Amino acid sequence: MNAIARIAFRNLGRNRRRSLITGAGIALGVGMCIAVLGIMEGLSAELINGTTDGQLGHIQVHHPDYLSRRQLLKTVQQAPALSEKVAAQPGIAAVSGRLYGWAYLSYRQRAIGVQLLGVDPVHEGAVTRMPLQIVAGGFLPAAPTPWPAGKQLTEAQAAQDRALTEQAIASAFDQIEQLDAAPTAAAPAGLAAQTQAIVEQIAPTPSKPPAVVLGNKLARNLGVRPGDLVTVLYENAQGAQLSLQVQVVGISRTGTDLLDRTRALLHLADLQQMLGLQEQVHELAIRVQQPQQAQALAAGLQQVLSGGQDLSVQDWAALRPDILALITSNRMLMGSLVFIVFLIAGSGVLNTMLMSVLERQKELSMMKALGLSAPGVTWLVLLETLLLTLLATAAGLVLGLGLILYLQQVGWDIRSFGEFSLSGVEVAPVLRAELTASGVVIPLVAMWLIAILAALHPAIRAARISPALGMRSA
Amino acid sequence: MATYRTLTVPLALLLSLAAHASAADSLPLQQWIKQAETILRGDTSAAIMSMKIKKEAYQREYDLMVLTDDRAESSKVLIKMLGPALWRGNATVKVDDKISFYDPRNSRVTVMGSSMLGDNWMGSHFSNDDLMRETDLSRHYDYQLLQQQTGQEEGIGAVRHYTIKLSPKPTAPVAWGKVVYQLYLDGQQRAYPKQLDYFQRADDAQAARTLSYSALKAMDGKTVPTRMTMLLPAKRGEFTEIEYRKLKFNVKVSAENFGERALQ
Repeated sequence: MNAIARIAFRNLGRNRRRSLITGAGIALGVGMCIAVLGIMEGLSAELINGTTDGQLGHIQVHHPDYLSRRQLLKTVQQAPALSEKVAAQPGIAAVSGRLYGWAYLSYRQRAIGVQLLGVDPVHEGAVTRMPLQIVAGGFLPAAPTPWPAGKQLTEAQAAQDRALTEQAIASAFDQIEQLDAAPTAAAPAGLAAQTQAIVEQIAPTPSKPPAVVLGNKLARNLGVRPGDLVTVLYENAQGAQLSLQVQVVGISRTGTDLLDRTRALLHLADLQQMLGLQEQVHELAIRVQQPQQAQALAAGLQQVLSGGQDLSVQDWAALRPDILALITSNRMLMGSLVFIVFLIAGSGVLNTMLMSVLERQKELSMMKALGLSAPGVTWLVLLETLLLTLLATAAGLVLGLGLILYLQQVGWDIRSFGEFSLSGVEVAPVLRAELTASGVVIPLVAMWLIAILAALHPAIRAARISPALGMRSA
Repeated sequence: MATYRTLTVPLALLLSLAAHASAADSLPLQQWIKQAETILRGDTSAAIMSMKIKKEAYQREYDLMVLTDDRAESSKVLIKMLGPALWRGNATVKVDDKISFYDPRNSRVTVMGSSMLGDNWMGSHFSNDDLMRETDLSRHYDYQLLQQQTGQEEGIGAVRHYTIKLSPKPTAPVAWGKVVYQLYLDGQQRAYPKQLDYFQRADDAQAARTLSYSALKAMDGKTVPTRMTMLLPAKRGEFTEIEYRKLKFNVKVSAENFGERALQ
């Protein structure tokens, strides 16, 4: 056996150029496959992180009907207590409540429909990168805007309000009567002031304009800069249309066009006050300690939260199946690429071994004549192949790891191709490879398997040589 | 003379019958609808009305003053809220295809595009479009008479009821797939609206919403329905009702009445 191994090794050296070219092919194939798989893993990780860190979090909790209809009243109740309960679960890193609303934002003569998103500035930073996406000004202040709570009207005040309405109606009657005659009559003095007093009691205005952070494209379209006051016209949970002045404190940029064009961030408490949804949120975004466990933790949370209000708990993969599908399809694509590369490398091996077997017919016949069994010949050829593949893949491994190391440290700058996002997730301008066990083991094992399969035919052919015929033929 | 009369009466009858038979498709349906649609507006109008909203989550009453001016191609509408306190002084105004909203609390006018015409007005079941009357049912549609019968209406006596199907013309910029319009004519051939069923799609069995007119009363020398009720068949128990308390036609209004100064 030892002799066979020696012969096999020596045979590789007999046609150095051929062995070198085949070996280099294998090495290059393995090395590039490792590097490409590394880049792919890096891109997948980037996609997942971009999704979870940018906006989604790893797990989200909603009212079961909220995501399908996005109705204002489908909220998660008692949000502070629920957040604490979730945060206390093992494996959970941070929890942040969010509230959504729709509004018209107007500045001077321009008005744009926007999505209002109320976030807790302190907790949100522990769940996503949202507070870091600021390109001008700052993020929302940690403390909510001081906002006195509204009080119900007393019987007397309600009666006063009704009287004021009657007064306004009477005045409107007069106004209508006088439309045909003189200029319109002014509203009764004091009506506005008394109304103001009542309104201030049921729906007090905050002591200063609440802070708002606008998406960069939204800010550009409105023509506002940090410091400007804009008016929000919105409908609260009771279907009442209200307007409020807010102050732009910062401009954010997520890289996702839709968000940058239509999103306005407010302090969670401010938006709760505006919409009349105190202690309620539409969404709890959760960061877990181990992202791989998101699915299991989501299932666990669903159990823990059952019994109280009806809630739906989903991990990022369930919330963004498109991202998961994108990653899966990328993997499939890469898998077929690896397969094709190895098929080519395999045919190279087949060719090399077949040539070497055909060339050595006389020699092999002699060996057989001297007593080497047919399995022995097969083994010899296989061993040659294995040795070649082993040496070549070792070189490929070094090449691949070197490339990955480089791509991990330096990265692959794709800015020259322009900025792009996949499924609404902005891809970092520099792609970085990620080293995973499977990204290395799969190319190696696949290469070995293909090499052995490719060598089988020449090996069996060599074993079948009839010594007498073989020695005479050449 | 006598023979003349005996001859003319049947002749006239015959003629009128013939006219009637051939008129099944030449009835002035479109004109009736225009008349019924503008019965509460005239060329210009000023009205005081109360609006009662009943929804699952809340109920609310508003008192409103509404000015309309339909003399130009594009109508002008001003709705000023008179009460309760939270909305007193709020105003919505439509001039051309621009809707402005004024809130006295921060003295700001927010100007919005016509894209929000389909939105509900102030949490009611009426859309901005309904109140601003941007959509004109007497245009953009094909009209087909479904049914007619004689009947009685309180306040005006014998009337003739017509049910008309409105199908949008292929290129019409309209939101509904079908509207079934019920109206009636009084002795003077004046058209009154009775009920409108709005269907999302032409083949829907259930209407998306139903607007009915009732409570005929004399207002400014004209008999008009003074109550409008909007119902959503899908949401039982919810409705918005508008009741006219005062209505004056052909008042003298000018562009000034719909300008920014009028809001404040």
